Amino acid sequence: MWFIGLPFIALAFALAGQAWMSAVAVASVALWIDAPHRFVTLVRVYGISEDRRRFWNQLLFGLIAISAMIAGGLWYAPLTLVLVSTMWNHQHQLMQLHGFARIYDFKAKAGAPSTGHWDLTLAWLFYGNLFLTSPLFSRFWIRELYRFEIPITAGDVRTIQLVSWMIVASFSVAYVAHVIKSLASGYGLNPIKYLFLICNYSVLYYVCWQSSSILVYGIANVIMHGVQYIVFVYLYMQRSSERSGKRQGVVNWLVRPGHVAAYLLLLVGYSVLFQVLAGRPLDEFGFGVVRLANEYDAVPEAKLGAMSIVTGRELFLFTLLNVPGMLHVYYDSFIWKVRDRSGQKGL
Amino acid sequence: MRTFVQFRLLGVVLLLAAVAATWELSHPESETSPAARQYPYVMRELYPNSARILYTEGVSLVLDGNLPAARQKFEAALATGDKTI
Repeated sequence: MWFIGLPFIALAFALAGQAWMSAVAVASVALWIDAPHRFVTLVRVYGISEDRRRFWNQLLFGLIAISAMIAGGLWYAPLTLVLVSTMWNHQHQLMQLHGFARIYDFKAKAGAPSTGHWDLTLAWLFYGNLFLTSPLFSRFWIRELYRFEIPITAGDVRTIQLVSWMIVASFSVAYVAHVIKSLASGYGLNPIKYLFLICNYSVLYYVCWQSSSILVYGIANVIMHGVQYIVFVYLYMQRSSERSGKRQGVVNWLVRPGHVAAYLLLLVGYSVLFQVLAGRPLDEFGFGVVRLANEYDAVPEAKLGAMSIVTGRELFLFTLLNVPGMLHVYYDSFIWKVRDRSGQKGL
Repeated sequence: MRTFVQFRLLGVVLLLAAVAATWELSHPESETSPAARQYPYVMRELYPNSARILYTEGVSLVLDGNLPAARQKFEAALATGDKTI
């Protein structure tokens, strides 16, 4: 139920962000969820020795190849880097949804042997249709076509979108026929899988249609995808640790009962480090509510400029160091009373 | 075969990146080509009421000196409720 309810929680948060928060909320959600969700992949693959040995070639070669691609892209072809990273993110997103759907079938021992292929095609078509037809994403691919000097007209776009809808509709009919045939052949059906897919795609389609704002999509998608992943990786590592019976190592320690807070603190720590290394203001953690850099406006009469991002970050770090000290300052005001008789004994 | 399966996704991504980068390097003016300048008009035809289009039209009207009409466009853009960074 957690994974089925999550898209609606994400949507509610995104709509609240649209109504009451500034656009900084997207950056805040990215920092609290998106950055940690990328980090947990590293925690898993480098933290679990079995996984590290199993995937070592891919881990090493992937690190070298992707680093080279990023460096080359930044230096020679930045627009290509944007295109590739965007498209790969979309593929990653649809494969995560597909993967979760498969897990529901595996756990329930449901579906025919060919259901995996049907599900994968369904995922590609549903997500591909979302990409081609939604106002939010069509902006991206139409613009890229123009960059590649393919001058597509509005009529062409409408035709592509109509064909895409027709393919989705036709395949959906075929998919239903496959499900009926599977049932007739004695294979089970897991309704939770379909509920999961319907909930996730409904929310995705809704946010990509109701607004061309990246804010609503950004928040909803990051929460859906990121929280899903962070929880999933934690549970996976916990089960791996239990199965191996090992007690040593950071991962085995993190997934012990009662250590969830340490896991979450590690993720937040990564986000803070990421933000500091990226040279971005730490008040982006504050959903636009904490805006230290905006507290001091320019004073033209005195020829003073507004506070810069760098100064704002310094002020935030200074505040971060001093604010926890307030408790120390307050406690010291009454625990060190020389006139207190019981205190005098220790002194 | 096993190596191919292990690295096929990375191979596809690197291949696509190489093709796109070759294009980008051989067409440095593609962002400002006459064809690319048609893009905003296509988007306006497709999504005339999107905040982005209304805002762009408002800016254009400001540049033309038609401030009352520009204000209408900006207010319409705000009315959509869209926020962006």
